[in-house]
Amino acid sequence: MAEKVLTARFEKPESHRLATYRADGGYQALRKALAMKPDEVIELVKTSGLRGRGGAGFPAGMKWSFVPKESEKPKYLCVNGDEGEPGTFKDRYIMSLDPHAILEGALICCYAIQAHTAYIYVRGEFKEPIKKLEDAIDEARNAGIIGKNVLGTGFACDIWVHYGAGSYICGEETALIESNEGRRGMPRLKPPFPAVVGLFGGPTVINNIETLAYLPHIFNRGPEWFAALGPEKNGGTKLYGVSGHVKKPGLYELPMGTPLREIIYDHCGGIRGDRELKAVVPGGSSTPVLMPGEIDVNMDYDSLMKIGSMMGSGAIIVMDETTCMVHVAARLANFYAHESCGQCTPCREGSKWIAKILYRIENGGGREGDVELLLDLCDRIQGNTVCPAGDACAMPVRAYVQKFRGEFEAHIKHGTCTVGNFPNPWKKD
Amino acid sequence: MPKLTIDGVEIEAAEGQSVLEAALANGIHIPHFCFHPLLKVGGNCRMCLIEIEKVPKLQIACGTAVRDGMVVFTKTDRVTNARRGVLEFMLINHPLDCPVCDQAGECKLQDYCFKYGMERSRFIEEKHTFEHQDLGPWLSKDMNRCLHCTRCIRFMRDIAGSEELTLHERGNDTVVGPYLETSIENEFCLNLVDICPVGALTSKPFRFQARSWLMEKTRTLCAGCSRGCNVIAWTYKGRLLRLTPAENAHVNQCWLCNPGRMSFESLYAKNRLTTAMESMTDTDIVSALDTAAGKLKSVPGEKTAVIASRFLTIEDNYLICRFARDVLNTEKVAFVSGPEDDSEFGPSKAPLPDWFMREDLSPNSTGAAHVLNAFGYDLKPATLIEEIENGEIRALLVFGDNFAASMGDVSRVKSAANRLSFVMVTDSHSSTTTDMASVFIPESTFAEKDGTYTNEGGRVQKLKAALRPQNDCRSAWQTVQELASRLGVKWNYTSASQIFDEMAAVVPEYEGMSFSDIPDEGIQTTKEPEPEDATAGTGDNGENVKTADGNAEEAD
Repeated sequence: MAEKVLTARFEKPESHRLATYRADGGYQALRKALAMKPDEVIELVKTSGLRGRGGAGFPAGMKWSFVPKESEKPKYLCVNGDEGEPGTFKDRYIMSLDPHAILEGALICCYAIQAHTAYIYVRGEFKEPIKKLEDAIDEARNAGIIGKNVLGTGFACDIWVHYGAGSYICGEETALIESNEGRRGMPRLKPPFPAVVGLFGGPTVINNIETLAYLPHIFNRGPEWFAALGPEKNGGTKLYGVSGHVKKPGLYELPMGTPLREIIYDHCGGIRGDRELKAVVPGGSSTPVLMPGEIDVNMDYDSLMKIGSMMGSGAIIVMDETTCMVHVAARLANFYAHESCGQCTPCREGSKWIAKILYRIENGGGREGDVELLLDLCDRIQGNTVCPAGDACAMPVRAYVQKFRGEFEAHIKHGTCTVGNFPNPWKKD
Repeated sequence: MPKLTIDGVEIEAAEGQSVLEAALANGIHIPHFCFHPLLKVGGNCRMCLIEIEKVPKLQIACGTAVRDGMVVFTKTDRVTNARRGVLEFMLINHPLDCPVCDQAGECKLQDYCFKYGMERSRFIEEKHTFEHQDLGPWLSKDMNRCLHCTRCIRFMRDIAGSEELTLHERGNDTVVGPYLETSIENEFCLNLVDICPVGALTSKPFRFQARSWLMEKTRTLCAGCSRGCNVIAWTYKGRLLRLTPAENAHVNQCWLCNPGRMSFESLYAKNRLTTAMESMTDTDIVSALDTAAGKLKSVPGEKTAVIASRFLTIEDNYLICRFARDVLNTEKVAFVSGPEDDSEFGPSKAPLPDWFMREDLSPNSTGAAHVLNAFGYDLKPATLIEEIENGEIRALLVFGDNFAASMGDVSRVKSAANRLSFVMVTDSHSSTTTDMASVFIPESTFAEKDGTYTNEGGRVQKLKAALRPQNDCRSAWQTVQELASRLGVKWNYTSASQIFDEMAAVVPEYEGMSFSDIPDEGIQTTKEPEPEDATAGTGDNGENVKTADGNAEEAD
């Protein structure tokens, strides 16, 4: 059985309290980091090979090293707790069950980049995780862990929780910054990159909750240990959130690179009702769907990239033979159309258009040429937008239409669902 | 100075320029909607996507800084597909309003659709429509046509310094509208009509009056204040229908305030006068001029006073001064440069950004002063009134100025005028001053004459007639020439150009100039004043700020 790192404390009673955290050795990693030079801290994180767990998989140490040493404006850490990617439910558990790990990781990062303020941006719907986080911050502040004199070392750092207000796009780093500043959550043009011009114009690092939660372990047990937990360049463990048509859905911490088949059939007990697997989304709805023949892939960043998909947030959505892929695609496109910030032409107009076409196909109004039109629209959106949200709509839709083309064409030709799961009031003769 | 290659052509760019700015400055047109040289970069329309060597994704030209050695392609299939994609996305919800939309003929969406061969989209779903919103007396808003380029929002935030417009809702439902107020009524809001690339924001005063391609365009000057903004006068069937700004980097960039923009309405005001009068009764122009000349003969020249005008051109003022010196032989020449009268379109009470309307509501104070100084005329208007009152002045010629109101004391001027044996007034509109005239000669307005004005900053610029003068209207210099001829002095001036060239030889600020050589941007006669900061207001991304120093493309 693989070693648990992040989730090791989840089942302990009162795991979220400072006293239990300290009893388990909490905040020793922070002490160790504060005794090093900030540059040394960054080097250590680079050595660990820790990659961002938010979805992009960008090496954390490298991101931190982009922050200029000298800065006229204050530097910031923004912790991304928006957890907006459909299918993802890992960060909420870390926030609820081990919030101090997040705070310790955040303080280590702040020290490394010499930031004195951190904001944890949490989606507004997470009432309970927010409460746990805020309670933990209060405890830490009272204990002199957060504040003007962190652990008596003279380093000053304060942490605040900023609530989101119902927008998926605020999980995108520059939109998060805009929202944190009190503005509309609309992504910014890059360059300049947040590490140079970020929150309130100052150098800013944005890291996912899970990413930061690994830091205390990396400092306590060494970067080489962490790197060795997974394959080369994809070190550490990963929280895989499995949902959908499996017998045992849930959050599983496994070594990075665990094969997808093993996750579905061993850990999650296989498909509910022992049905046939039809499709799997490997890393959250924005990642291209995989067919049953593709599930022998290792669940790490590089392996998934090789087969044309992505690790994303590690949110695995399993769909069995009773699922209509046209419905899935329509539902997904609708999500992206609804969440689009509206700033740039391809996403604002294109995502809604795609959703309208898919709903029309699903409801029996499909016409010849719709499949080609959908694929063409995906091409016109992808790569042409201000932020990756356009790609997040285009790439999955293209994958569904291409990999399950027969189903779409059957809907168009017969005006009905081949899976037979959804009654169709507009059935064509 | 970084060099880059666009479609095989090497061009030189300025440090810090974007690829788009560098291209436009070198006559290479990359299509765009949201970019505007004087606004901070929007980067949202995605129309300016171009291919850069060694960069995998297409990049927006407006948001990519030039690097030395960059190789750019704007004509590849990828780029063309991206452009057609953007145009198609814009068309899917855009209403087919061209037949009833004022923007037709000057619409960027129309222009690019023609250019890139996109006349229809493949969209067969239901178009997204928006509720109508009334934005007040100046702007007509049609949200269905909006491309969400945010030029209007950025203008209000960056240039006007009054952030009144914002985006509401999200995604495909995004609406451009005011924050809390229900209308947009500030003094510069009609500039939004110019910068809106489509017919989402159009001018209510101009609505439906003429199709843009049927109107004739004349580049001339606004005469509403001493700023001397450059304008285009649009005329159709002999009527001036609207003024829009013409680009001049030294004066108004590409902006025009509402009062200036609407100043042409004065041509059609109820108190416009276009026929000659004697004692307030219409008469023919020849007999009016004869009467005036006769009266002038009966009064000693040196006891005749002449009022020149900051509302008239340099040519008018020059010939007025020549008339005073060479024909009347009088020293009593003055002009008023004082507080403003009760113009219909005075400055608004709200605090205005410094680069719009000036307090001096006349177009040529500086020019008139230059001319009168060169002739040595320094009589104060107040002294002139006293001299009328004590009988030293017996006759008065007032050219193109509501003198009584300009002096600020109408009743005093009126009673002084009653002592005079003769008063002649020229003006374009009736006023308390014209009421005093025994002979009245109508003046052409700024839109009906050629000539020059010198603005508050010392820049001399050309005025070009957009319309022929109506009825008896004429420039003051023509009236003066007619009077001179009746008083035995025959001049042969046939154009403003001729007068300017002669004037330039004797007025030191214009030394060496000739009328035909004055370029569109005018010529600085004195040291150019410090440039004002044209982009106030805080932006979001410090490093994304781009201000252009004007480019060849007319602001659209």
